[in-house]
Amino acid sequence: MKKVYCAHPLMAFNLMKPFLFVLVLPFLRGVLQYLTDREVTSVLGIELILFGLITLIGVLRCRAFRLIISGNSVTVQNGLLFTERATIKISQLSSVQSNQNPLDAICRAVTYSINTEAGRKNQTDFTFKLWVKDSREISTLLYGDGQPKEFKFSVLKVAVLAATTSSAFTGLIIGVPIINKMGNLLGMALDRMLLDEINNASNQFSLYFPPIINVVTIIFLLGYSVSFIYSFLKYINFRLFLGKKKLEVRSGFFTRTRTSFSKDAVNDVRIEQTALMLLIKRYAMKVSIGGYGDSKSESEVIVPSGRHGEIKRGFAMYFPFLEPDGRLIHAARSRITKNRFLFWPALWLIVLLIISPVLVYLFTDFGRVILFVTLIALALIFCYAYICLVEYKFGKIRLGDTVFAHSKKMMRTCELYCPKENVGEIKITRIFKDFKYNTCRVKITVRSESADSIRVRMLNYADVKSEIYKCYRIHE
Amino acid sequence: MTEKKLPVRTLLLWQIRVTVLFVLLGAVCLYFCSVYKWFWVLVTVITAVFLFVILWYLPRFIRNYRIKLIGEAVIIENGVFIKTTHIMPYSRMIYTKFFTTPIAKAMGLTSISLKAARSSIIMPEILVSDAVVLLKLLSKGGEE
Repeated sequence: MKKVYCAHPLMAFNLMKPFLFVLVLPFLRGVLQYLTDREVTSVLGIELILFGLITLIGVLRCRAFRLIISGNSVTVQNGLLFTERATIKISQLSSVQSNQNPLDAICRAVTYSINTEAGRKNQTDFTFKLWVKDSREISTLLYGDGQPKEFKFSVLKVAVLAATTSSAFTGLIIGVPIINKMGNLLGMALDRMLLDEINNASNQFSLYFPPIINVVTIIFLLGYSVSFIYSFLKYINFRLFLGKKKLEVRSGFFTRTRTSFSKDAVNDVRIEQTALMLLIKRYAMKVSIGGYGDSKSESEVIVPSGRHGEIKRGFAMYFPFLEPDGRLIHAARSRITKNRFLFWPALWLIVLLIISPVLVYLFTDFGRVILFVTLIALALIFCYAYICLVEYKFGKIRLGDTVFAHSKKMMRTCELYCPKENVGEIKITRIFKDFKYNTCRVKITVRSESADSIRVRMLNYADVKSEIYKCYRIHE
Repeated sequence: MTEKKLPVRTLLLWQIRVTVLFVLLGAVCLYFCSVYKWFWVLVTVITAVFLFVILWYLPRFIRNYRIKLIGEAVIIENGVFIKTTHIMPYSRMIYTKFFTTPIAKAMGLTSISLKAARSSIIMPEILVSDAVVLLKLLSKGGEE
C-alpha cells in the first residue's frame, strides 16, 4: 500500500525564509542612491517584484514536497529544479517528532521531524509542516495502530522535575536575550530598570555580608526562577503512551510536542537523581535515542519524577527486555575503599581550608565576600562527599545481555541500562593505588551521537576483565 | 559481486558544468583585462587549467570511478592523483538520497548519497535506471 502526503501551505513561509535576505539588496541600492544622487527611485517596485518571486518559489517548492510511505520505507521528496529524494527504511528510523505552536494550532498544522542516526549532529534529518490529521495517520503507519496505554503524571511531579533540573545559569542564558529584545522592542532600557530594582531590593536586607552578595544572590534566584518556569512549561501536560512496540511522549503548554519512537531505537535508559532530588528521594527516568532532534542531548524524559520503587516498576513495564542479568560487581565493602572514595572531597576541603585564610590575609577588605564564597564552596564539597558515599554504597556493574551500571556523574547519581550491542567502548583505567589493591575504574560509553557514558570506580580488576571477556565472548 | 562504472553521459555533464564555470570566470577576467593588463596572465592560466580538467582529468576520474557491491559492504574506489577507497557495510547504512539538478535531469542522470551514522558517501551522477537498480541491490544487501 502506497500513501502520499503533501505539505501544509504554512510550509511555504518556512521555504521562503532562506531567500528573504534578497530583499535587503534593493534597500541597500536605495541607500547608496540617496547618498550619491539625493533621491531614491523604484525601490518599492523592485522590493515588490522580488517578494513576489520569493513567494512564488516558496509556494512552488511547498507544492513539490511529497512524503511517501510504501511497504517498509519512507520517501521524502522535495525541491523544484534541484530535486532531492531520500528513501529510509522504517526500521532505521530513530524517532519522529511533531511540534505544534499556537499559529500551527490555529491552522491545523504541525511541524513534523523525522530523525535517524545519520545526518548532521544535533540536527533533525527532515523537517516539514503537515496537516494534523496526516501527521497522526503517518505516526500510525510508521509505528502501528492499537490502543496505547496512557500514563498521566501529576503537575506536582512535573514541578519536581522542573525544580530539580533547573539551574540559574540556564535561566540567565534564556532570560537575558528576552529582556534585551523586549527592551529594544519597547524602546526602553529594561535591563537598566531591572538592575535598579535588584539594587533597591538588595538594600532592603542588612546582613553581615556586603550588598554585592545580596545582588548576586537575587540575580541567581531570578535566573533559577526563569529556568524553572521554562522547564515547567516545557514538561507540563506530560503524558506517556505505551504501545506494543512504540513509546510516545507528549508535553508542552504553548508549544505542544509529541515524540514517538520504537523501543528498539532506544540506545540506553537512565534513572537519574540530581543533588536536589537526592534530598527529597526522587528519581527521573530518561531514554537516549540515536539521532534524536536538534537539541544538544539525545535524551527524552519518560518519567518526570517518582520514588525508586515506582520508577523501577515503570522500567520493568516499559522496557522488560532491558532487565539486567550477569554477575554483580561492586566495590569492596571496607574502610580503605570508603576512604578512597572520599579522597577527592577531602583533598578539596584541605585546599579550601588553606586557601581561604590566605586570601583573607592578602585581601583584608574583601574578607566578608571571601567568607561567603568559602561557605558556598564548603556546602558544595559536603554535597560532593555525600554523593561519593552514595557511589561507594550503590556503585556497581552487571555485564550480561543488558549492561547495567550504577554510579555518579558529576553531582548526580545515574543508573544506566543498555543492550550490550549498543555499548561503543568499555575502558578500564588503573592508576596509583589501583595496582596495590588490584582495582580499576570502568568507563562504559554508549554508541550514540552524543555518547552517554558512566564510570564505576574501585571494582576488582580480575572480576571485571573476566566478566567482559565472558559477555563479549573474547578468548585470549 | 556487482561492479558498476559511471556512464559517458556523466563525463559530458561534468564537462558542461566546468565549461559554464569557465565561461563565467573568463567573462569576469576579460572585463577587467581592459583595465589591468596583467589579467591576461590570469585568463591564460584559467584557460590552461580548464583544458587540463576537461581533456585529461575528468575522463580519467570518471574512468577510474568504480562502485562495487560485495557480500557485506558497498565499496567505492575513486581518484586520479590520490586514490581513495570507501567501504560502507550495508548494516551501517541508514538511508539513501537521490539528488537531481535540471541539466542532470534532462540527461537522465541522478546522483546518490549513502548516509550512515556520522558519515556519508556521495556518488557522482549515474543513469536513473541504474540508480533504481542500485537502490534495490543495496536494500537487498548487494545480492542480484
